[in-house]
Amino acid sequence: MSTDTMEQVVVFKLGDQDYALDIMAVKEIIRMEKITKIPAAPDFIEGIISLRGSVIPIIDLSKRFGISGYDYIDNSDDAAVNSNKRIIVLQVKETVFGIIVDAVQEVMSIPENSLEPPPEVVSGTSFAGVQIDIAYLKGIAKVNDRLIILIDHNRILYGHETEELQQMAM
Amino acid sequence: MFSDVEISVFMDELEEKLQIINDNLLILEQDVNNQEVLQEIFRAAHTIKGSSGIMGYEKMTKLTHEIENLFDKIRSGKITVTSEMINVLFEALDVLKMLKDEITDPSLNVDISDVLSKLSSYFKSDSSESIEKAYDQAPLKQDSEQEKKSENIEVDDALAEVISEAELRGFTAYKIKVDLDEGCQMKEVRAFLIFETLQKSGEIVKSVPSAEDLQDGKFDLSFEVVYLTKEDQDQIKNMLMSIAEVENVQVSAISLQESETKREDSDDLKADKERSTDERETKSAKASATPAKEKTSKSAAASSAHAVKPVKTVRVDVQKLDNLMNLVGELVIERTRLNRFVELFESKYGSDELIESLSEMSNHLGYVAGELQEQIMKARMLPISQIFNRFPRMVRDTAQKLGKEIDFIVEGKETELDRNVIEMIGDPLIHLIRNAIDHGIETPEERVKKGKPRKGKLLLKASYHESHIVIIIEDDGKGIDVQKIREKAVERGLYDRETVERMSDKEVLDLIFRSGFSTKDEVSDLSGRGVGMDVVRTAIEQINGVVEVHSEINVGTRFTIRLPLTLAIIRSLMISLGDQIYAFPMANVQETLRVSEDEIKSIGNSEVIVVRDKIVPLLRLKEHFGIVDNTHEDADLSKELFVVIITSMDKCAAVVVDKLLGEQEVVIKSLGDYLGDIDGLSGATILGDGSVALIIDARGLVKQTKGVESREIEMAGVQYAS
Repeated sequence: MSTDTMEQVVVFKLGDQDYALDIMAVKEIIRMEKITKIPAAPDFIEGIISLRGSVIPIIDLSKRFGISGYDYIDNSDDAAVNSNKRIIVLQVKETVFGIIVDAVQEVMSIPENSLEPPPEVVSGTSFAGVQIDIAYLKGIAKVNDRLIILIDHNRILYGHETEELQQMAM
Repeated sequence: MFSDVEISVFMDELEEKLQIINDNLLILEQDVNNQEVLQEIFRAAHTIKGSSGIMGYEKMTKLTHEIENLFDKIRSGKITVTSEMINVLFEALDVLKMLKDEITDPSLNVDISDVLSKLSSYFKSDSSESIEKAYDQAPLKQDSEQEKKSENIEVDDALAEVISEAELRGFTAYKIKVDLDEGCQMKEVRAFLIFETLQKSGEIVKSVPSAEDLQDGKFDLSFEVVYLTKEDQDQIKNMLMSIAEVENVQVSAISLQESETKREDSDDLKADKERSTDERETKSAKASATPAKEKTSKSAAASSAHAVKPVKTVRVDVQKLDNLMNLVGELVIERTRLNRFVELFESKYGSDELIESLSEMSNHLGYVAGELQEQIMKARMLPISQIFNRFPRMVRDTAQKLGKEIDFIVEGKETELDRNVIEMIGDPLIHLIRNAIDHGIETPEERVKKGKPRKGKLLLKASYHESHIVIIIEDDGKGIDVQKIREKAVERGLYDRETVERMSDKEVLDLIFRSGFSTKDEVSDLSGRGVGMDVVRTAIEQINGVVEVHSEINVGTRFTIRLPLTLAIIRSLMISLGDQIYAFPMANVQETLRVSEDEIKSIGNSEVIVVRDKIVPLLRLKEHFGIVDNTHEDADLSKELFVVIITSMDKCAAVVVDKLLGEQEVVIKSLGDYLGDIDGLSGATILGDGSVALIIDARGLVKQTKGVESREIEMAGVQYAS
């Protein structure tokens, strides 16, 4: 029965909005650390960090998704906010990478029937109070009056900027 | 069918035997009467014949059979070696190599008829016997030899030594007598299976008849082996009895005391008998080294023949070593953190016993991690003989083609270096060696005229020098005429006469590495060298190496290549831009300077500085990388700037940086597939505090010094200087 199927997700905050990622894609969650910037990299690549001996890229989700009016750097003066910041380390196929989030909330099981497909709107349309590129969404879940945006982890690396990345690899 | 493992063991063995034939043919060419060399080739060919027969590679069996026959004749003095024959033999060797490739790529479909007929033409001239007869005779002769030998294995000195050594390692030596079923159809296959089975849990150090004969089926229904294992008697017996068509197995332990007495007994025997035993021993030891398809038995046999300690090897995927290396890297980083805590505690609670012992632990951990890192690094290394072994043949062929006589000396084959470096260094070396033969060493007549020995000397030498490998290629040929290079440089419009005359000889010699300077026909005629020397330098620079040339007219030329031991670690100059740290590979850093803003000139749209009369394009790295500096700094004109002069492929650039932090050895990490290659960066490294520093790709950066072409700058430089 489809009502029984649950999706386990990690819920996190970017700004004031709740987002979630499939827990199977999450490798680990680490504290914020100093990120080494890479010159000439696309702007959504925040830089690299070392994760136990290997170098992994860190992606700024807000830039990646075109979430406007939000920059994680802006809050950097606020110590309370900063201490909640985390890097969620994901593995998609062979690639390990991290995303910066403002806070990790909880692990939650979302019943599949409470998941709605993303609204059929043009990308960039204001939605749930923030601007986000619809292409990265898997759906929206309504859990106890909270709206949680489910992100498609497969799209984070190679969204529709595949060409840009290929150029970088040249 | 045979498993991949068996095929790969066969391929390894084949490779080794082909190398033996190759090496010995080269010696044979110099010394046609060298019996030992003849034996070696004969044996190697015989082994290949045997094992390729088992594996079912018919063409290889056929060809090696012919080679074996030919050497059998040569051995017995029926045919004498001619230089033409050597050429045919080399040809046969090449075909063998092709056959080897055919195993992995059956589409090659190598034709062996041509070389076969060439080989057999040597028999035809020897009309007394047909080839077939010769072949029939070989086993006959061996059979009769065998009959002379006693059927029982005797323990002589060499064998006793192997056994006693094995006993120290916890092995027990057994004598095993295997009887095969009378109706056994393929006894050589049974023998092979028995060998395989035994070698799974131990080592066969000796067998009678020799393993070689066993594989050829040249034995009656029984044979004996001396076997080292940790299993007990019954287990061995059960193991063997489970093989089909094995009639009976007798296993008895060999104890050395017993064999000592036995030896004493045998001492009383006639010297004649003694000699034959010895002969047989060496023979079977060597023989067992060859067809037995297992490295361990090889080394064991080597130890019995030469009393060398057996080297045991395990094949490991490089990926696994890389993973290990990463783990050690983590260990080092954690240890650094631990150390910080020790310091923290110390400053907080003062020094007390607990902190002392914590600090001690941290130090020891650091030591162990360091050792571990070094050992893993070493595990990744391979001896340079991997590529050096290819050269004697190449030198011979090239020299023959050009009518030169060359004494090729190879030293330091055993020098070990990182496998990646080995892969990269082959081509540049071939280039340099070819050049030395082609343009360096003169023809014999010319040499005699000059009062030099007829034979030119070519030295290839590898050695360690501090944390580097130094490879030297040295000839005693005509050397490079510096004056001619000067002329050529002017002719080609690289410099004007005045500049060239002002350059030191060394600087002029370095010009041969410039791209555009060397094209094959033009330069090789006058300077003697320069065939794609820029390619050589580029390849060496790619692996963070340096190449230098030293030459004296009519004395010779020497190329010195300095390579890092590994590609994983490089010495770097650490600098900072804003709050980020970057590493410049030391191989590319020429010098560091302080210049004030008003020393910076502009040519066209580009900024340049003058370093000792040379114009160097300036690159402000911070702006180039678009780094926004939070640590505000005002552009004060009188302020001095730190400049790092980097060089790559005879181009320089002056890079402006914020601070110089010092030298450090860093472990290179790739940025990963996702980020791919980023202009101006070659990777990243993890610093002691766990943060990441980017490694600058000097080549890319120098290329990016935009605006003025470096050529134009040089031209401008000339004007500026004059």
